Amino acid sequence: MNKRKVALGPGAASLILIVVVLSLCMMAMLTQISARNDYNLCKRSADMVQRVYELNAQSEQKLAELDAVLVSAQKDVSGMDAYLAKVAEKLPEGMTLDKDRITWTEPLDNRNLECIVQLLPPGEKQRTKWISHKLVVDEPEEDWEW
Amino acid sequence: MKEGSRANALLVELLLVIFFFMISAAILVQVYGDAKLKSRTAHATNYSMIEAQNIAEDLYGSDDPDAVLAEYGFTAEGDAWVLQKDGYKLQVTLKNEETESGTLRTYNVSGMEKDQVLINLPSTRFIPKEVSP
Repeated sequence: MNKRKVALGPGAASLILIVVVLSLCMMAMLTQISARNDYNLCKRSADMVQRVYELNAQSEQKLAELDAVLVSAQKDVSGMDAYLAKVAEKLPEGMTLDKDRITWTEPLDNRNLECIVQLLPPGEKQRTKWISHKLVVDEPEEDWEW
Repeated sequence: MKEGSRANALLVELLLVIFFFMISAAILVQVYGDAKLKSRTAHATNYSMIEAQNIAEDLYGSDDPDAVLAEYGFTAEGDAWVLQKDGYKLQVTLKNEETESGTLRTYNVSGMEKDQVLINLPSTRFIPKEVSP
């Protein structure tokens, strides 16, 4: 009767284990890094979108504040010039009046939401009209040289 | 070396290899599970952000928000409108604030995964009312 020969030499199983475990570790690490990067990117993107929406909400609140001023300025005035003079007196902080346009800015890090509304003549149903409502991104200054 | 003792040594080595492989596998399964969880949250955040933006913009421009929400498939649950999606939930709540000259209407569109808020977009619109001078 022939004796069976053992095909696997001593140490071969350990070698295979090391190779397999190292490969699995490498793949797990890459998967983990990839998932973490995806998560961080999505989180940053969602945070930025949320903050921009919050800026929009703030600009609408400022518009409401301005509209209340316009309502009170409309009382007992006749003519656009008197109306504008009265508005200029009561203008909320952070807003500037230039001719019939009111400008203000909502800041966010290196971005600014620039808002411009036009004042419509007193007595009209609408008191303001949006002219500009845009997000301006300031590019960060480069602090390095070639 | 005798054939018998060689086989025994191999058997012991195999047992040790299996033991260490089990330990490594247990650790690696945890790492993969964690990565999968993170990936799922990232997916939910991304899709809920896109959906929430669409809904917030639609609500901002609409005069009949209930119809807009019903069209998206939202159902009313108490004070909130809720829509269950694949892996996340969208929730919309309304807040009306009366000011001297009009109404400040705010819709909070939130994307949620279980109880965790992934994104919360306030869609605010000022609706002026007619005031006689």
